[in-house]
Amino acid sequence: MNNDIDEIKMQILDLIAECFEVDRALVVPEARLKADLGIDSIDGIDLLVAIEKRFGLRFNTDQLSDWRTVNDVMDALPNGAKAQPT
Amino acid sequence: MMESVVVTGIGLVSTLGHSLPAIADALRMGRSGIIRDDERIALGFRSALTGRIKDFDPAEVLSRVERRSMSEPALYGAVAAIRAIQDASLDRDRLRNAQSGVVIGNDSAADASRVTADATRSDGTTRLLGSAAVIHGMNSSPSMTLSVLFGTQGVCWTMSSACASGANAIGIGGMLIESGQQDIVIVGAVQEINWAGMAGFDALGAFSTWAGDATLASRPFSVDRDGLVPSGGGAVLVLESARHAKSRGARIRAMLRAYAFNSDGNHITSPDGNGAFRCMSSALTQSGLSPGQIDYVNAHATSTVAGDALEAAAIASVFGEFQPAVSSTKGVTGHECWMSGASEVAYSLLMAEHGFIAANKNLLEADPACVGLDLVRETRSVTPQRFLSNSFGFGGTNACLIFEAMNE
Repeated sequence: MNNDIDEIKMQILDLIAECFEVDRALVVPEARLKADLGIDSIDGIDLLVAIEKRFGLRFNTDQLSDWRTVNDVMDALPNGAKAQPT
Repeated sequence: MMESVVVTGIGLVSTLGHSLPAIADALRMGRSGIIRDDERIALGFRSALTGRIKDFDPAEVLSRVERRSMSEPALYGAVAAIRAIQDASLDRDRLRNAQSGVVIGNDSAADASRVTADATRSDGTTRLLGSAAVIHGMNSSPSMTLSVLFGTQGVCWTMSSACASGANAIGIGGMLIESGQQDIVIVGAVQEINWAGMAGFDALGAFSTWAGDATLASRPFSVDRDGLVPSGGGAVLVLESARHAKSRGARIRAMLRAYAFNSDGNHITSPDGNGAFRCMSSALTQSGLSPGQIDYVNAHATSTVAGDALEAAAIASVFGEFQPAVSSTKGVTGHECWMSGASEVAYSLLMAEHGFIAANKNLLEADPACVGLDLVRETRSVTPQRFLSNSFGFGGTNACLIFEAMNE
């Protein structure tokens, strides 16, 4: 189970780098979305959509405004999220 | 006092190429930008013919954040505008004020609407549409994204008037400068080139169904023409007051001598010819030029049976015994629709810069309706110093522009 969560988190890091054209090395859990990765509030909507499409799950959109770091995004993953075949 | 309006920059994203010298060369040599698109055959189109923009990569000049709100036509417009500003040697900082604005011609957001509808139905929800769907789906997307890109704080309008949209965008931008309300306006037009934007036209039977070499399909004024070939891209001009252009030492490419507009008030898709006659006559009167002082008419002629014949008769009547050289560049570009009124001014300015008049491609035998016209059959080594550009759209909306090329 832990392995699966770790794999999901890795896939989200990859997804952020791919969707927002950010150097993958900069996409670490502690990275700040706006200040470090240039991901603003409009991008936040697209990040949510990209994760929902990739993992087939639904976020609580009320949490979107609380996302400050990559860790916040991963902490918001709904229960039952499963890694996707790559 | 009325301000003189001048052109200081040209930028194009065209089926003929990306750089101005390459596009001028294609016009001179009659190289076509038209292909046959197999996807349209699979989708059940009557005609698979279309213009194609080759090697277009907006990421070369636009960041991800700049691109994210831009639909296909907005990207064409933004890249063309960046090129126009470079051509005008205009520092972007000079656009960040209330005397600078944008007026862009556009009359559809068809593919964006298709994508939104398809995704909503297949997902069973709107929540996966993402942030850009609303902007992409707006007809004004190209002008609003351009204003944000350059930070202009003056006019930000979209001109929607069918295939006269581009000409009207130039004309309205010119009027705002002439009246002193703006010093500089980024004007032009865009045309999406995807199948969704063209399906309705195809249904009307407006397109050529030429079966052979695709580059021979668009045949303005030819007796055997069988319809237009859809095309698109982006065309932008930097318009300035002469005073503003001179104050910054800009190269002046041309002066806007006249902008005339009117409507047929007759039929939703069929032109009547009278509107075209009145519009050209009005432009000539406004310009203060006599018919014999016009060197070239860049005709609207789209390669449709009715439209070309009526325009030919109107040109013959307006110019009488002083017939200027006439060609339609749509023989090589196809019909760039909303964009055509702007791109064809740009093409004519390139001809003036390089000292030639482009031929009517694929014109072997002219329609008898063209009697009296000086149709250009081979590229002429003549500079079209003063030219008239015609645009006639669905709904009978007409616009004519007269420019005088300069090199100051």
